[in-house]
Amino acid sequence: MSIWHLHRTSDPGRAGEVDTAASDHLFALDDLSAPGADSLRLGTLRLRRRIGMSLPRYWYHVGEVVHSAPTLDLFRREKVLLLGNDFTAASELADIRVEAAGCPPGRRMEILEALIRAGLLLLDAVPGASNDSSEDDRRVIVELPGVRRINGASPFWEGLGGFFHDADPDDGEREYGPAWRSHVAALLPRHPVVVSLLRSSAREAVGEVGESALALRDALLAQGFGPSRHVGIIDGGPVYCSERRFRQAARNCTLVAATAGRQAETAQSWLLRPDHGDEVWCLPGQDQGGSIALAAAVFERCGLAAGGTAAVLPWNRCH
Amino acid sequence: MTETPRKPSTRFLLRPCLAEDLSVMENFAEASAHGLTTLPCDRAALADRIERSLQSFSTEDVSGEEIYLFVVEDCATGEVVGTSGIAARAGFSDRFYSYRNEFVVHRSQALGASNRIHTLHLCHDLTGFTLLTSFYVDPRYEDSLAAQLLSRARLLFIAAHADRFSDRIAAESPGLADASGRCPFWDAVGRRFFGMNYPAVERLSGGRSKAFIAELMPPSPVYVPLLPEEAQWAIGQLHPVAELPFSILIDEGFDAETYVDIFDGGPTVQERVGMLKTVGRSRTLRVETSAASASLANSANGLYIVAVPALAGFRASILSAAASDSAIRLGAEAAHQLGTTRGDLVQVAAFDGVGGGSR
Repeated sequence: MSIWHLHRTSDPGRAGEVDTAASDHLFALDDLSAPGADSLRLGTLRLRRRIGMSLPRYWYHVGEVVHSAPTLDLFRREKVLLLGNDFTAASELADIRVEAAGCPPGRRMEILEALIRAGLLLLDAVPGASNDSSEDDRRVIVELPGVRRINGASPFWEGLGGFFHDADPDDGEREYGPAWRSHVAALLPRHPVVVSLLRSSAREAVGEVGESALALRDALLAQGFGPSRHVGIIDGGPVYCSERRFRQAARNCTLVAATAGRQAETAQSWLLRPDHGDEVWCLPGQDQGGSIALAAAVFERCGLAAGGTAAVLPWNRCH
Repeated sequence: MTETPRKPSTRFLLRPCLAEDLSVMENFAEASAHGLTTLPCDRAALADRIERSLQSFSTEDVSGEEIYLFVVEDCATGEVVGTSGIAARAGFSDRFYSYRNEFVVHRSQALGASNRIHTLHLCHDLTGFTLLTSFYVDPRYEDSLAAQLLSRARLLFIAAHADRFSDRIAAESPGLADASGRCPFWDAVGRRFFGMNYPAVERLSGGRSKAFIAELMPPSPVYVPLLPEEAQWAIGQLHPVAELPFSILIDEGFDAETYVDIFDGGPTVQERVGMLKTVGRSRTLRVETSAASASLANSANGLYIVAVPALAGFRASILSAAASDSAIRLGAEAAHQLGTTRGDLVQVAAFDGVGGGSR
């Protein structure tokens, strides 16, 4: 059975101003059981907690207005975009990527789901985290990439944001990093924008997932995320959201040594977040009620200690 | 456009529209180009409007719902050659919708960038304003003083009966549209919400007020840069058929920059009554008919809009006369046509013929 490890990794790509109130870390998912190597990089993701608390974050809310006049035989539903900060204080999974070299054929979805679920476990099981945070604060979002042309241009930006700031978003993000989106939002429309007034290519891009992100969308749906009524300000890609109350709660277990000989027969896979450290393990173990029994080899490979405690979730997706 | 006043004339007389003017008014309604006049083409509706106007001229009990219709006669032939009107309060008990031009400036300190964005805000600012309506002049008389008299004399009527009107006046002018009624502004904005052209919406609305249609439009501001270029260009643009009355209003001092019509994007002008040229120049003078009047002995002739300020008996003409600080000398024929005699008080405003034609 495989042992996967999600852990903090060095973050070479940070540029520009950062949201100082948010914790923002890059994590890597490695396969420690890959043959012929000490570990194999499967993918990466970025975790941000309490976003937008110092540097505001912006999204368009996609609302709806109805124009109705029975005597004119008129009934039209119109989408309306309203710029706002609706996910402030939520957490975010971002930059979710599968490493091509570490992606065995047919396991892309498995890796994506492991990244997402492990990320959620890290966010949900923060030692010492306040229990009185609001349900809104416990939301986790993923901004999915929207539609792009072959040359990388965004029809949504060209049809909306570009009229308010004539700049290439990719250039802006290269210069300012993720903060560029906050900076440029100051130039974007503050009043509701009726979607039907946009050019057709921009209208059609509202809430559409870019082709490169379709697998990620499926993985998010499989892990309980759903489309919110928000889209990104650059390419109009949808924002998917997971609410804490709909997520399976992890249970706290003690890690114990498995009885030799029986472990292999009854072991299942678990996502396990030790009480110490910012990491999640995906490993085989035996459910013993209040404890999870791990093989000695697993203890050794993972550097875990018997008697320690962890937040655990069953993980049936892989292995 | 500036023209030097030409040959003085008393050829035209403005008076309230009467029931016997129905047929000619019907002709005007049918002949008027797209959107130029607010006269209904339906004879019964037109008769009703004339009746309402006559009631307005005769009643002392005003509510703001009054309308006043005037016609101008060619005195040489007795022919009625044009009409104009006033609605005492735009919208009256309903709301009067306009788009207000606004410019918002966004700035991103971090990017060192700012933008200036043209927006159209749906508003009721002009509700309750007095509205100039129903302008139409026979094309043969477009370059004559008839057009000037039709447009400007009603301002003297408003000034003379200020308690019946708002102290602010507005006037709508038709925007760009082709002969079939296709209108670039409507196609880019209203059509998105109605799925039909504007004439069709008007037909379907069954003659209800424009407010009924306006309430189906999106209430949020329209960001102009998001509209197609053709529609952007049409904002505040005038339909060519309205150039004459519009030029007179601009010459009067109306502001044409702030409001546009929510349907075709045509300019809606507005101004305080007291700021308008004709009103600002108007004085109340005593009529003299004697050539030997001492007070006018040293006065040279000039061109004046002269109005008898009675309500139902309101009459006005543009004529050449000598005027002093207290009196104006009218010829016997002119005095007779205006229905005034020596010693009467009349409103007089110097007319310089600027704006539109003034043959």
